[in-house]
Amino acid sequence: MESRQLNQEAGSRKQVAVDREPLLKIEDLAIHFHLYEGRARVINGVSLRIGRGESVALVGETGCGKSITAKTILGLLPPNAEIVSGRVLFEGEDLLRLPEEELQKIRGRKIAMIFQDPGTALNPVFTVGEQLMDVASWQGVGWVPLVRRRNGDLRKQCLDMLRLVRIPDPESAFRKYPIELSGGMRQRVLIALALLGNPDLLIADELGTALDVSIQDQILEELRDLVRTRGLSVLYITHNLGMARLVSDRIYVMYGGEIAEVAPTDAMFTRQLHPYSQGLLAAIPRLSGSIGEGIEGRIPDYIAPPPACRFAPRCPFRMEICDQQRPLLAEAEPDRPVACHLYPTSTR
Amino acid sequence: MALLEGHGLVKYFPVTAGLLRRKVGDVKAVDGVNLVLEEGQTLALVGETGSGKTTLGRLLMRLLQPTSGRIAFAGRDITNLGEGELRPVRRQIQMVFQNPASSLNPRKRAKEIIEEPLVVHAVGTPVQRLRRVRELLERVELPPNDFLFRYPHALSGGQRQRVAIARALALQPKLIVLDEPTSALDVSVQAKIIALLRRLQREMKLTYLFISHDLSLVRNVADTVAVMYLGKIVELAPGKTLFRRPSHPYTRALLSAIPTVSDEEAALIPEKIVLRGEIPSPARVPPGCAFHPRCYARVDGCDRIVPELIPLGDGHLVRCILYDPAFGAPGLPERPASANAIPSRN
Repeated sequence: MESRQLNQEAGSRKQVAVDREPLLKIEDLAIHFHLYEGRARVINGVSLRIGRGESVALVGETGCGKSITAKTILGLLPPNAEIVSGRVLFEGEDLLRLPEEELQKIRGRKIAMIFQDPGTALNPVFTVGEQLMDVASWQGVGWVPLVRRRNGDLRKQCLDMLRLVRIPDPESAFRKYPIELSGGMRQRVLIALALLGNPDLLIADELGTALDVSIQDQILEELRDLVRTRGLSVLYITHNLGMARLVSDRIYVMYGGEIAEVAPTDAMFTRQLHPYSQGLLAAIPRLSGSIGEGIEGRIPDYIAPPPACRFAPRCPFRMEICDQQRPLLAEAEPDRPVACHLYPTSTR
Repeated sequence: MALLEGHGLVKYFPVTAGLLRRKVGDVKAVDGVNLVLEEGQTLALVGETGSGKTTLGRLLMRLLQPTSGRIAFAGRDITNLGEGELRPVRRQIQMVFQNPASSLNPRKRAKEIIEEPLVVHAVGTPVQRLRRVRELLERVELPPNDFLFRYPHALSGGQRQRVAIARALALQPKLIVLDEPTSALDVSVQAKIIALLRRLQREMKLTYLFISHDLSLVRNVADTVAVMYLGKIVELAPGKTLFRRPSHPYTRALLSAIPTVSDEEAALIPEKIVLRGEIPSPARVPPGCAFHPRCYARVDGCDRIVPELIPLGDGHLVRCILYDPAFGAPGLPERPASANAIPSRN
């Protein structure tokens, strides 16, 4: 009942802004890190778009730059990161150029992040309710004086949110400390926290990775349904292609700080165009009884990355041009952008 | 031939409370497990967090002393051997841990790490040991000249795990306990480590006890699979049988939760089952069948009768009253009761 009301609210707000312009658009992002060893050229020309109501998965292995991409959107990069070029357009506004105060109005309210580790993302010395109310009061009209924090409306709003993420007995969970809840319940609390600001875009970083499969599956399905009924856009950051298949409409495969391939989810699992996507999918153990050979080598050294295609040193189809010219991310087939010289569209 | 056997293994950890640390209860981590590892085979222990799979692995290695039960290695009872007597047995049983970043000493070089078991067991002269370390590095596909003097921090995750495997192989053990050996690694690296482990098993006639929470991975490595829930084995079967005919409701639910990447896999997965709630704490195991509060096929009596392991033929055992001839053995309903069923996503 409650969720339907919230849903209608979100729906009407969205109709006002119906246009073909994507909600979030990252253009040619490049980020370097200043390390003791030198300048690490990590993110190298990443472009990505998320439409309204669309769920996009950014998939890649450890160290490919997927989390950094997500952190850039929220302006949460560490101090040694330097944004060399690019734009992050949210509803047409470049987030990279916004002053901190403006960004704070967007962070948590229009774009919210579901944090990855349910063990550490919550404050251990406050109850779940206190943390929810704290966020809720901040999300509402700016600072609410501390006196008003005991406000019944706020409490009700938080309890409704716990109900929405299907926490059994929300009243008792509200009074508990994070340590008294199981991992799955804590993850649900983190989802509730992210939803409190009624955001348009959710960023889910490795959601449920720390949980058992049965709990992870439950939470993902519930979130997927919640996202659909409320018309939210989501960016899932994950290393798990199986999970991406379950929740996303479109998949970006990332390797070495670049986008290797983009495809609608179903198409990606039918046929992969980039040799890295092929290798990655083949390496997943199957219930039907097969496990591939894996991919030779290791991720590039970002201080001295390969000169052209960053995957070339590990690629089974390496050609001469792969070490000379960087492949462009271009549509090799309709709706199938890929950055690989095996496809003439990627070669200038 | 049975290499390692566990009979009626039980491990309770006491729960204490109050000023005097009075014992108020038990965490029943492992609660009556019988297990046989055949030589040259892989037995997988599968279960969720808190199911007791790691504790069972440690009991079988005698890293923990069982509360009751018997362990036999190569036909010899090792349950009550002292540390001195255990030493020669320990040469035969080695372990590879989950996270190579924390199981390798950061202050030692690859050579010293791999050599350590040889030093502890006083094998060979320093020159012979170095030759052996080089051999071992080659075995795990790391060129010795490149890797002998590297510290763990200068290795990638996959390379670290290879060093950990080389260390486990140093004493030419018969049995290796692999506790989630690939769960800290990326899939493309995991596939390479699994391929390596399989090759080593073939070449060196190794027996593996493979502890994992990943059923898709287990499908690809195990000859026999034991599914654990709250300290008990709820289903035990040859790998292929288990995945073709999962019989315990818990096994089915676990299988149905696996995210798949292909349609042929999706076809193997039972209809979507969403379990109620989460795995209870092993300190408060529900009465009767421990799984009954979450079970979708629960019948009258599940909360009172402790089910036994019931043979279904071909080495397939299942701990569920629905297969018990004494109760008419109706079997598991093909479709879960509608209240808990969600149409399959594929």
